[in-house]
Amino acid sequence: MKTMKVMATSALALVTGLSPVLAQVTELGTPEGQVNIVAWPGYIERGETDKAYDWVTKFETDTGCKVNVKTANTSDEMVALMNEGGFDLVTASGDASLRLVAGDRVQPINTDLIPSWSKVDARLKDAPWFTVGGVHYGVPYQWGPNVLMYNTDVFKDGPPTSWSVVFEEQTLPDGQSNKGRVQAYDGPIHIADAAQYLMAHKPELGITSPYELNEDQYAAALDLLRGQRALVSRYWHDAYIQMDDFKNEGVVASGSWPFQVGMLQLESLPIASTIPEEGATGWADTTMMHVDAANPTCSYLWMEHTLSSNLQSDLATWFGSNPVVPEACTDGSGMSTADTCKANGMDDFDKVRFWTTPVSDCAQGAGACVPYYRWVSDYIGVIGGR
Amino acid sequence: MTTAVEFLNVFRHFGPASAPVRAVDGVDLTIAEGSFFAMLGPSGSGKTTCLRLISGFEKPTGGEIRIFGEDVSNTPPHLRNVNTVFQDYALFPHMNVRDNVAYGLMVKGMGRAQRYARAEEMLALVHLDSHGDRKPGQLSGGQRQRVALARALVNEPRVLLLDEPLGALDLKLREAMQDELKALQKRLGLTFVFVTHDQHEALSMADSLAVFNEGKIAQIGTPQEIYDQPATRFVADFVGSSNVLPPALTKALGGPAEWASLRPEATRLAATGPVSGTVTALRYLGAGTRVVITLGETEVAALVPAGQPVPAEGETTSIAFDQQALHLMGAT
Amino acid sequence: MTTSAILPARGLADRLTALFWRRPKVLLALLLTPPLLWLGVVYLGSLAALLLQSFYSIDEFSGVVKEEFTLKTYGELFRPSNFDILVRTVTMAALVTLACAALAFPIAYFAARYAKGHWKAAFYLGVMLPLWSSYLVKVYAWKLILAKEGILGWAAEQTHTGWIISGLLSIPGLEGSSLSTSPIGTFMVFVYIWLPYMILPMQAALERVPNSMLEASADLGATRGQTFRTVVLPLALPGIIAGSIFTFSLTLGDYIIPQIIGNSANFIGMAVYQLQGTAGNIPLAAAFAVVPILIMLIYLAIARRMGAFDAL
Repeated sequence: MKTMKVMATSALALVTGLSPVLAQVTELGTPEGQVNIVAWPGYIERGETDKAYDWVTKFETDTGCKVNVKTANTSDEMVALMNEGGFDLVTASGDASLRLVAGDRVQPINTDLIPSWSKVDARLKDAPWFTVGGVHYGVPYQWGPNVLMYNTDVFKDGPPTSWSVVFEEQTLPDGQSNKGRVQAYDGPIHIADAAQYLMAHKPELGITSPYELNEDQYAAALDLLRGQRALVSRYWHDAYIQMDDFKNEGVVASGSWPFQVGMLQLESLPIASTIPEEGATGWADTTMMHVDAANPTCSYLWMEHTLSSNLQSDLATWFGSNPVVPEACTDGSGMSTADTCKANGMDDFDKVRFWTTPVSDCAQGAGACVPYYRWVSDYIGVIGGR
Repeated sequence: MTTAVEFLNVFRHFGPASAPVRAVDGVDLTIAEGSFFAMLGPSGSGKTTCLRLISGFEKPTGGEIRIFGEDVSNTPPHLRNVNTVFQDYALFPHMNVRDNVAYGLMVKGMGRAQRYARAEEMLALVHLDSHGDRKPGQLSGGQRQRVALARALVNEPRVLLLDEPLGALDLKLREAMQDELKALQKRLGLTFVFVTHDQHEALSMADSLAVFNEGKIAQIGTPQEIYDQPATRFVADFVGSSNVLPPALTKALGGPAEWASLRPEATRLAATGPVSGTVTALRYLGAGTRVVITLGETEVAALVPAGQPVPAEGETTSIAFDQQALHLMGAT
Repeated sequence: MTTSAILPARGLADRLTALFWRRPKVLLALLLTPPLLWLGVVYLGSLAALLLQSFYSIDEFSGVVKEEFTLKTYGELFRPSNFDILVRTVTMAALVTLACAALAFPIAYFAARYAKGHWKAAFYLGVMLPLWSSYLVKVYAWKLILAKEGILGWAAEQTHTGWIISGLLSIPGLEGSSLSTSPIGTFMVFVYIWLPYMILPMQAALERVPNSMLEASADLGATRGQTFRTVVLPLALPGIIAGSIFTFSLTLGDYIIPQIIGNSANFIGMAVYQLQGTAGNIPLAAAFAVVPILIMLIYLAIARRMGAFDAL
């Protein structure tokens, strides 16, 4: 019956051409007994990796909704799984979320059915990576900055203040050149890091968003990256390989995630992180609901659960990320404290420019920006020495 | 007469010194230049090892081998002026017949035109002219055998070694090749050393032969000597055709109490005699009939020339012979 | 008592065997249909889909795939940055193949000609053992061996041979802060990982060369070197070609090793992986993927002309 209603409304919407907005759930029924979620590894823990980290068991007992998790390692895998169907929810990152919206794979969320929506960080409530035309296509899950990780033995007098340590050749505080001792991310999205650096250092380019670059701005970013190629021995791709490179390859500074920083500090290595004056790029993930979700009630209950339980607080310490509910840092619902949140970059929100997929139609005009597929092939060229 | 190959108390042992396999166990041997020499023996008797000692694929563990008077103990195969026709021919499958035959000249650095001309000559010698472009796989067994022969002869070796070269051929082809080989050897005047386990082949082709048994030479001599006067019971048994009489029977037939051999041609049937037995087998051979009589536990064959009466199977008869036809020999 | 000349059928197996005897083609059809279906539908089908995609192109502005026939995407392969990838990958594959062949030959030769009994077992174990452990584990282990502060660096330091490594790393085009970040490292790991795939077919081919063939060559006056060039090598060529097909095509397609070891410069596999993903540039990914297929076809044609398959 519900599907009939959904189909009827969407048909009506199509016929009247009012808006591309799909039907959303208006009321919750009885829990269906399960919910199927596509998630990043480590995002949904039920105490099996570490007993202390469990934000599933209680939900299952309280609601009777069994949580089935399918982990995916890349945004592309997530999109593919959602296209395949059979899942209710996905923890989509900024480079996948808009694709899912554009492809009509996810449905608008009725925030009235999520009581804890009011507790969501005001800075995230209408974030552009899941809000299209004022309609919310999901509920924020977690976010984090791409920090500058550095070796404290080399930077003895305090953290580096600028990303220039990874972009331009210079002598580091230990008296040696940074050549061969810094790393950069092995993904085209790193072009945005270069663009952000240029925002601060070449204001004449007029870059307003590192994800929306016209041809000139884009060319300048690539030039900067070509200079960087001479400094970087190997680009990092896998978090564990980067950690190994900091341990065994003499790498002393690189863009990184709080996750690697935390892991290396756990081994008592002289590692710390900072967000330099230019700011940082970052990622923000959103729980999104499949357009044909078979278990809508459990899905809504789960979304409420992600905001109201220990999940935000514990996941933040587990993953080195930040909660989307600010009070999770202080309310004692989990292991996060004001200090851990600060370490993970909670206060640096304004310095963070979140990953979104570059498209050709941008704020500078339709077709004005360089689309992502060109980022890919050109970044391949840069790493190849072109 | 020059000596082509000489073995001086040669040993070749395999395996650990504590329990060696004595493949060649103290062989002394002289092969005259220009002769057709056969090494005869059952498998494992050491004849092939001796051949490989001449070609250099085996090194003696003791003793000395000389080829035309020169000690070759430290000479590797490719520097010995001897060539081999292998049992499986060992033709190179990726080369055509001409290249196979010219191989020995090619590795010596002879120019293409010259070596191909020589190869054609050799192929003509073995009646395979016009087969030069074929691959070995397209030839019959007999043809391959000739190619192997041509390939070994192209280097003009001073000694040609042949390792059971006719073993893979059918009977008719084999007999034709035997004649051909013999004729070729006569014409070229080369020393041929021929290994075989077929006593008829050895007897019919060789000028002289050595019979091998368990790494030692049991007897060395001309075919006639080997056939008529086998030195040991083993030689008589292996060379075959001759009757081998145990000491008791020799004595009963009027000789001394020793092992003896008696050729079937020298054996006659007699109505009465010191020992009589039953005719157990008859074989018609055209020129005569071979009659086998069981005397006690020993079978004795007699050749009855055509035209003389032949007894029926199961008849009782005795044998007779001239005493000088009886050849006494060692027990082993 | 006489028995019938025809024995009674004991059951289904007897009747089936009889059917196959009367109609041999039925058995052939039964045996071949499943693999041919697999080959035809799954394998050739996906290959056709790949080929088709490579003739589409991506719209410059929207980034949407245009499903119209064009050679534009293949043209893009010749853009300098893309052509670099092809040259880099093919060069690496060729060098890895040569190195594997050079390293594998003595090992295969020993195993085929001299190893007996326990030695043979040890050979198989030694060659196969690395194949039993995870490919990723081996690559990560090599990363540790080659790292700046890794085993090799330490050993060089202890033996005062560090200058050899620094010398290698200063060769233009091969620079890196350590072997693990230099193309030399990528090369070494490729050679290690694919070596067994060269040794095994080579050993099988050498084993089929009869000993008498080598003796015949020596007997006819050839030196070891001449025997090797004119007899052993031509006869082992099918095995070497088979091995090189493995090492060459495996290197052409691999995208894990250059990602972990080396200077991050793209290889064909890495480019395909990146292009088909978020970039959505399936046509270019497909065109890249067609390249190794073409190269292998050319390679096989050359090998055939060289007579590599004559002995088959």
